[in-house]
Amino acid sequence: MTQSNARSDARVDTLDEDACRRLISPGGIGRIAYKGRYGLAVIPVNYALDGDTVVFRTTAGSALDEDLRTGIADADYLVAFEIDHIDEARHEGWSVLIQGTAHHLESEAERAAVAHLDVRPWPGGSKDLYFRITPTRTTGRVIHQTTPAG
Amino acid sequence: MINAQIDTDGQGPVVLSRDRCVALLATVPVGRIIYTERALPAVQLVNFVVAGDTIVIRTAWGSKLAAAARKAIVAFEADSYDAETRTGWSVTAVGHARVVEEPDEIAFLDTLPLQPWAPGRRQYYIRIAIEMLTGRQITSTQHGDNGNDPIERPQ
Repeated sequence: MTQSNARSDARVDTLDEDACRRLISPGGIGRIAYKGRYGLAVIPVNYALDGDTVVFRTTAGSALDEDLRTGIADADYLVAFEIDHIDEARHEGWSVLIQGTAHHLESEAERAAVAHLDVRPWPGGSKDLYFRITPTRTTGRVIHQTTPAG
Repeated sequence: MINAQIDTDGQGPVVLSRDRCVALLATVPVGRIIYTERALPAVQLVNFVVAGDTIVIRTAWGSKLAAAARKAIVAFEADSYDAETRTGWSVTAVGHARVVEEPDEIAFLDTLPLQPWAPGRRQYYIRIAIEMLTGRQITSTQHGDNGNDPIERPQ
């Protein structure tokens, strides 16, 4: 199948921070990317936006949890967090990338601060751990098709 | 608001079979390349196809991804989540990336059904060798078990 000329009318635009924040504010699934024990790792997690920060949770004892807890007080892990939305039929989509530090929410006060977010632990489930990502850099891109795909 | 939980058993990643991972990758048109940019992880959405034991993508000349992919190890991830059934999957491949320069190889790759949603001029192919392939089942369950999909331990 050859590429049609129509598809070459696609545009890729960058998104500013405000636009990025608006797109990711409903929460949902995002992907945390980091350099772990086995090299680059990327794992989908459920997240919520808390102001400018991203909060997600992991299961205690999971590989993700162990990788992100550096064991050094006040030393946070450098991570990327990616959220996207794709319209397969229209060949369009957007993607937001946050690069920042991931901090394990250890104290009761820290955990209480995220209790209102919809990243609830399982009732009766194993202990869950919460992480907060503080962005140092937020970028985004959007792909539009200016003529219909297909 | 979905409430998915990625379940692992604390022993390490729960692995889907390689065949299942490859089959799942064939069902989605985009994935994400995870690479290192100035010691920081970076992620970029890409169209891709699987060809043999490699993942094939295209990228623009001079892009950050292109620079990072020159003989570097990258990760590639694709996933799908159904909010209604609250199930989904995630597959990650890790391996060495290389820029394709051989005209014969380019001609072959031109025959593959890889159609970037945002093609541009001066694009070239990158192939990522699938050296490690892991897949996870995503379920939202009360008890943290992984449902009834076949799961194999890493060998």
